[in-house]
Amino acid sequence: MRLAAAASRVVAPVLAGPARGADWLGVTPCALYLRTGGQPGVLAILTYDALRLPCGVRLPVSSTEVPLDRLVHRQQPCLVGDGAVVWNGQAGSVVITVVRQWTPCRPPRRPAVAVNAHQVRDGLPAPAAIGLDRDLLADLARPGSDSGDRSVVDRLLGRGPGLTPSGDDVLAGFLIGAEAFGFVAGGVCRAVADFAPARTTTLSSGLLWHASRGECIDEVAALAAAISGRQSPGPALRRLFAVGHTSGVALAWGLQAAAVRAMAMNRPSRSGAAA
Amino acid sequence: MSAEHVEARPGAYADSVTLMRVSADVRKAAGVEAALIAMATDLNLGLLPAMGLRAPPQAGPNDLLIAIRASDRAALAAAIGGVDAALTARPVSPAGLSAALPPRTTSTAIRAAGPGLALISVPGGFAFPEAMDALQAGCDVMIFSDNMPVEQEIVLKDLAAERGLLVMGPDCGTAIVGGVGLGFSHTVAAGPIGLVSASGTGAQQMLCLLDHAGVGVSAALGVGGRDLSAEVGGRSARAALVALDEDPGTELIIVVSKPPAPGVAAELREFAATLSTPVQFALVAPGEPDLTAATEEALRAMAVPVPTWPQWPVIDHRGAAAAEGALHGLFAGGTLCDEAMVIASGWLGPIWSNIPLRPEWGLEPADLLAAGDPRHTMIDFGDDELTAGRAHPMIDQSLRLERLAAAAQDPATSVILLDVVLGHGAHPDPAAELSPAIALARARKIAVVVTLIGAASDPQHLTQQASILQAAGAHVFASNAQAARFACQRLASTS
Repeated sequence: MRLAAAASRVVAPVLAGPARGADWLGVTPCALYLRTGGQPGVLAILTYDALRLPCGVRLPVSSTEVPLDRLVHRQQPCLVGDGAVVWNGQAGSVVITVVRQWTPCRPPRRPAVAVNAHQVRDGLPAPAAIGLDRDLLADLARPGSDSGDRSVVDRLLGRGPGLTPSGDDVLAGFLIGAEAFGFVAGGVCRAVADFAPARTTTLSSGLLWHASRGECIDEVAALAAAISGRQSPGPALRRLFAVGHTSGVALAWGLQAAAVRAMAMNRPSRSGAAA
Repeated sequence: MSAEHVEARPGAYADSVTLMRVSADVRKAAGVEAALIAMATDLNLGLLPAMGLRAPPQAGPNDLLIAIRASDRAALAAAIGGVDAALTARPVSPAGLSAALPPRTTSTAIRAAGPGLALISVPGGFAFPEAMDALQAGCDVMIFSDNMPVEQEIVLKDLAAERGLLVMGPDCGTAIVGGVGLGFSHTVAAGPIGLVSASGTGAQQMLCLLDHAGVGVSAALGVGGRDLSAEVGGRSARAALVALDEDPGTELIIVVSKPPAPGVAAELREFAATLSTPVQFALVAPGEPDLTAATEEALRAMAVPVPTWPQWPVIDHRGAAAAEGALHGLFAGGTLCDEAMVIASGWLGPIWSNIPLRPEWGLEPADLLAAGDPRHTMIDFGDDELTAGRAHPMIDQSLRLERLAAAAQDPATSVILLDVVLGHGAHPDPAAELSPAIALARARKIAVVVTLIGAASDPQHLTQQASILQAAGAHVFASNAQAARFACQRLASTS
């Protein structure tokens, strides 16, 4: 089977380089995850009905037409490079040739609007529903020291069952929010960069790398835009809820925490106000 | 005594929804005391001691952690079996992988079906790459899309010439190829006349008049409304002429065009004189025969009697005396508008338009839909500027209906001239949509004159459409030239 594909500009260099072996990280009907060399270290082959992950190579077929999990034989090696992804699978050889590139989504950069951030908070299920506690999210939302940030990251990274644990999704949402609402989340960024490669799944670590650069799925960018825009964030929030089982909610909590921290950092201090 | 199983399984994975569901199911199984199925991140491994279990050595975050404590070995084995079954279950594809994938690009479709004719109908900004893809795959191309830059048109036509192919369009609204009507087309018989058309509605007028005369066509090859412009230079007209000249079934070729660039028309006449098949020109321009006259000339060349062209005169003459005022032409067809302007300007002087015969007669965009204009105007609602983002007025009459209603209520209006184009692809019942506004105009003593372009076998039923328009109070003509002259006579008789 030969398929043409469009690659994210971020992973294009890995695909354009010399062909190298890659390990299967995960297989679903709409996504194949591969561990590669270089950054972000993960490549996702996606059907067009899958989420547009920033490390994605998008195919012109749906998961109904071609369930990707039926193309893969996990024991068979996979080669990534020379403009293609190639492997021998259950239904013979598969050659995915990159013919186009696309640019991953980024949220607009502008200040969060308090009323919108509050609406998001009111519209979110309780943190316990995704295995997180409210205090942990409050700590993330509070501007703090590097050591405080490292402690929060330490308690969130890898928390949850799946390939992208809920705690990681919260951190990814927070990092995107920092980029969107215009504050430097240096402590969280450094702690994620230090801890994630060893403390969470390779896929999740890769997605956190993208998040620290402001790259995300469209649904997250849409909610970030809504929090800083003039419209009610309700529609964007509902759209994000549809992502994964718990991921959408966790990403939204992360964005909301970033909005709260951004507003706290921009608020004049009492002494400043008096001056 | 309880039994336990803790495993970090490399190369196994599942999405969080599956893992949460599997964990929950296992916990509910008989004899299971505790279970965790999750990726082996540090935090998940850290949950094991609370379950009374120890982390397996060498576990890493990309491994799948399966940790179960059960009341006995049998319950444990059943639980592990349940986990394995749940993690290996896969949905069955309804189509299966054996089903052929549909082509995703123009060229792959052509490679699958073999070269032929590709019809491109996408928004104009996207038509060029599709047309180029088709040409490179060896296909003739009909570009129904409009709003394509002229530079792109020239590139496509030059490539087609290199490869011996034909580019029909852009803005090629009608064609008949191999007996198949494409775009806006009419049900007409096969016959000896071939058309090369740089004018969609011009070709439709001639096809329908030939149909009334009982003469069929071998092919109608549209070349795009700009083909005879100075920029494009008749590139596709030449290729189409050659194609029809090589067709043994074509005994006479008619070239029909909107007002062409004079130099291009002259060169094309010289080229046509070199062909073995006689070529007749129907160029809509001052000093040239109108389309009806050109059709009659073709019939005479084929030794076919010229019939009386159908017309359905107004039944109710009450209030027919038109006051002195303006003529407003509201057209769906650009060439029909051009032809009417050529005729009317000879009677009435300047005709103001969005596609003016002279630049100084151009209407400002703000004037196009404004009522109360005391000047004689004719608007082509099919022009690119008025079709961007909406369907052609042959399909969607809403913009024209709006203008018609305004003109009907305007005391400055004396005569309204309309075209109604039938055929495949056009509105299924245009007369029914127009008749209320026509009746309103008649009630205000405004004469309404309609050109009805249709073949006897068209799906809308020509005579029924004519009857509806006639009953609403319109004078209906099959010939656009006759309709335009009738409209001018009404004004001239009152001025």
